[in-house]
Amino acid sequence: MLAARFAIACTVIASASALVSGSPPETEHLKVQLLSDSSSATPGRPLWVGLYFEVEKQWHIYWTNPGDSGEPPRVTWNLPDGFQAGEIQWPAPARLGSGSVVDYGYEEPVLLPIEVRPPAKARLGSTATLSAKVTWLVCRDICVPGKADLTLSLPVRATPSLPSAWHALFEATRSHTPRPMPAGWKANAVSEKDQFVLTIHGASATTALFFPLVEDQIDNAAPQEFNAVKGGMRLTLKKSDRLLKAPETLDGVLEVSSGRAYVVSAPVASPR
Amino acid sequence: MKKIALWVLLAAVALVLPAWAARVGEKAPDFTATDSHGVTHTLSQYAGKYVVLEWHNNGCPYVRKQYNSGNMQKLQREWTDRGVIWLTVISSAPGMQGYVTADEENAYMKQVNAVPTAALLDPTGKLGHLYDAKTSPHMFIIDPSGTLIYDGAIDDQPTPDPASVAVAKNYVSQALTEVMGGKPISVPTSRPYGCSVKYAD
Repeated sequence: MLAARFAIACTVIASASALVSGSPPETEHLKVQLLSDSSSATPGRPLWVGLYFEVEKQWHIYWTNPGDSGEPPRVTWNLPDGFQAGEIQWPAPARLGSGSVVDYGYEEPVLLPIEVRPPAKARLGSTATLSAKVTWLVCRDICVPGKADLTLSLPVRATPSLPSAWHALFEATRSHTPRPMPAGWKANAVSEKDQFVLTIHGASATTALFFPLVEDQIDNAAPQEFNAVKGGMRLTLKKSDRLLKAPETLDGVLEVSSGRAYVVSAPVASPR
Repeated sequence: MKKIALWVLLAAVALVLPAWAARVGEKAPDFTATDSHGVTHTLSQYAGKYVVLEWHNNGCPYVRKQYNSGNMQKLQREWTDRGVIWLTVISSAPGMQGYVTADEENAYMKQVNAVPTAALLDPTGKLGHLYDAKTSPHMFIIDPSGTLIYDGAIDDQPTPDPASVAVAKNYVSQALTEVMGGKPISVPTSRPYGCSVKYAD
């Protein structure tokens, strides 16, 4: 599935040119671009832009919770009057490393989508220039901090905007972006001595991985034990040594065997 | 999905590894290690004193932030002057970033004016794994009774940006100040940030 996703991305790159002015900045060990899902901005209508990172083979960047080491990319916007940008919508990451240090991040090309809201009074016929200061850490066995100033110019038009050359990449990314759990699923967790037992009632999968959204809730490097149970599935997660008190909720992204990812916030109970 | 299958396999392998643990509030594991002058140090020999462990890698941008700004050296000077034992630990394996010979480490410390009590050379990663040190820097504090009282980051600025040092809240200084003043430590754990420790395995 991942392979298919990147095949789409690569096709898109080959055919793209419309909105990218000049070639993307060449930085150490990765290439980063600011892209738009649509070819114009419409006053009062949210649109999607994204930071598209292509890391060199064997290098990686990090997820919102980087895990045991590393640091996620960050963006600071300079936007036209009245424009607002939301948070990065992080696609589900991969587990990186297999020893006592385990991180969460991306070794493959990844689009980090961000919603931008143009104001209702954005002037028709004008050009909206979105400027982003982006910083990141890219690592292999060593780590290199990087930064880039990126801009994206979009014409402001009244007519509904057309998909940009990058639309397929945005669509492919959306299919991998964590979504709310299906209505029939219910998550809860029990705090035992050294571990959490996370149960997802109503879910069926042959395997699943939990990516913690909150630092130091679980031990990133510890094995996650998966069990299909009656009417659902169960993951046993070792607690972080730095967790001194059980949290009220266990928060993370659950990637299941279908490749879908879901946002989980499981109330934590203590065993009776 | 191959990724998940691989992870399950790795998980099965990991299950047979010993469960090392250094947990705040519990007895810190004793260790024996050799410093860059060939001197042996044990944790137990420092019973009765506060001990700081600082995981180090001189090539890591997060470590360089601390040393290029002179902040780490300042902390070492300030706290060793007050009787704290400050042990820098290098767990990089030979061939990995941050690995140094004893002579190289002594030259480095002289060059950057580092003044820890000692720099422990841990190329096998034995001490690193004993404490489950994740990053450089990763900081631990052990109290005079041998109890681990801090495990985490050096400060609250998880970035290699040198400008962040000036605005950082230093968790190590805060914890030592609080505990020596008879107060509870307000931040006894935090996520250590930085480069992964460059273990052989």
